[in-house]
Amino acid sequence: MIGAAQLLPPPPPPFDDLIRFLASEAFVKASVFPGAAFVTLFGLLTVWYERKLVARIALRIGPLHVGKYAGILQLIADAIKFLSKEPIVPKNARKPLFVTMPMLAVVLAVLLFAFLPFGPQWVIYQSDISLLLFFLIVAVSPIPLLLAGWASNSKYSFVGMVRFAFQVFAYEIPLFLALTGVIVMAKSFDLVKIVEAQATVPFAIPQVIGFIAFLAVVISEVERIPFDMPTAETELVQGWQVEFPASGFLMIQLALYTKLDALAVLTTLLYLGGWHGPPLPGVPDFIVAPFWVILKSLFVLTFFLILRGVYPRITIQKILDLGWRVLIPMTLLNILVVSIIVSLPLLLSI
Amino acid sequence: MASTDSLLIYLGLVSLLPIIFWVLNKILGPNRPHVKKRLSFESGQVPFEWRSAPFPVEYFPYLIIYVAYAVLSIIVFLGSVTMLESPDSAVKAVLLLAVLSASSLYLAYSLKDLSQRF
Repeated sequence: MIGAAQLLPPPPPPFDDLIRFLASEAFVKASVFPGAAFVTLFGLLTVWYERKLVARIALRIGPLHVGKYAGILQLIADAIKFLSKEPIVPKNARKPLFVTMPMLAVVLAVLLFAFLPFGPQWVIYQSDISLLLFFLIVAVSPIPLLLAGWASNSKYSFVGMVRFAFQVFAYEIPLFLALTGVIVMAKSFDLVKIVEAQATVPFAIPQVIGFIAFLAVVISEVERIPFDMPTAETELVQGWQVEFPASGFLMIQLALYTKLDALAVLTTLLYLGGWHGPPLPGVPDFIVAPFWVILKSLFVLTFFLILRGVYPRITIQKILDLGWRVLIPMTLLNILVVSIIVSLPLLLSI
Repeated sequence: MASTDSLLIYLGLVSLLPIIFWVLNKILGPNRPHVKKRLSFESGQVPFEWRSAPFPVEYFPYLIIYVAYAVLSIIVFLGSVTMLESPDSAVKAVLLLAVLSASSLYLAYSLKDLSQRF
């Protein structure tokens, strides 16, 4: 006679399910690459890289030679410093918004990486409309920052926030129009297909006007010099960020640097051919693809960071002029050129 | 399905990050409240009233243009996207874009002389 216990399958070893989950493709992508660990390291690397680059341009001895191990430990020291400061909420501030908006800003900025492919299979969330989803989050991301400035309820924050709002007006439409050119040429909203469409020629060549406009828009989106009027360190003492101490300031900085990284990767995917590059002998394709994306993104990032060292800040008037009088006509012309290229066979047949 | 799982796990990890920062700050940071610490930043100046804070009204024309262009850009976007679906409409789209490009260049030229101060 066989007992009931003998018919049942043996119980799984302890933690078996947990180990299977931790080793699953979904968890590895979300937590390691191109997920949370990679995004955090990329953000830290950007801060370190900016310090070294700008210090070299400005011949500043301090940041160039700080500490052992090329100054990497300074990043950890900075994080500990921010986290060990007293979290103060100003008397006039709207406390719930003041506390939660930097948190929301971080979540939205880091979430951008969910839609960015680092290779045909290296993407957290594969979707046919990944570019639209990315753009949706980019379009929403200024809202927590504007609300953070408004919640501070201080004069400097208010002036910075108003400038930020005007800047958003100036660059949002050119961004939308620049992306339209890419979508029309690739005939897809899927970032993987957009990169595949650049197998022979990167879009930066036929869409050179759109590419230049897109670079200007991206710099404005992340409030980098020369378009950093909303924070304007020397006149507005960090503008809308001025009232944020401790972890609030840390989260705002993390959000801005992560967004900068995400937009550098997006520029690579939309205009610089993404993972297309010369094959490396002996290295499998699934490693070569992210290698090219990261390398090209670092070049784009270097361009963004160098601007801080070589350009002065321009006035808000110039930013508005640039957006309305230069970038919009440029992006419309770009779409016109793209439409002619795409429909050339049809136009010739008429 | 694996892709959705990845997104959900990522969303969970991303949401944890700011909470970890906030909790660590609460644990590591001192808690010595003082009325002066809660005053707004004045950059060493004598505080002045709110009604004296400037509002940049001179940029108002740009706001008006934004309202017009926001609608226009959606039309351009939809018009271009229809090219993906029906190539027959490409000629019309190209014509529309040519008119829009020309008018935006004219507008850009005209804006140069627009008064910014009132």
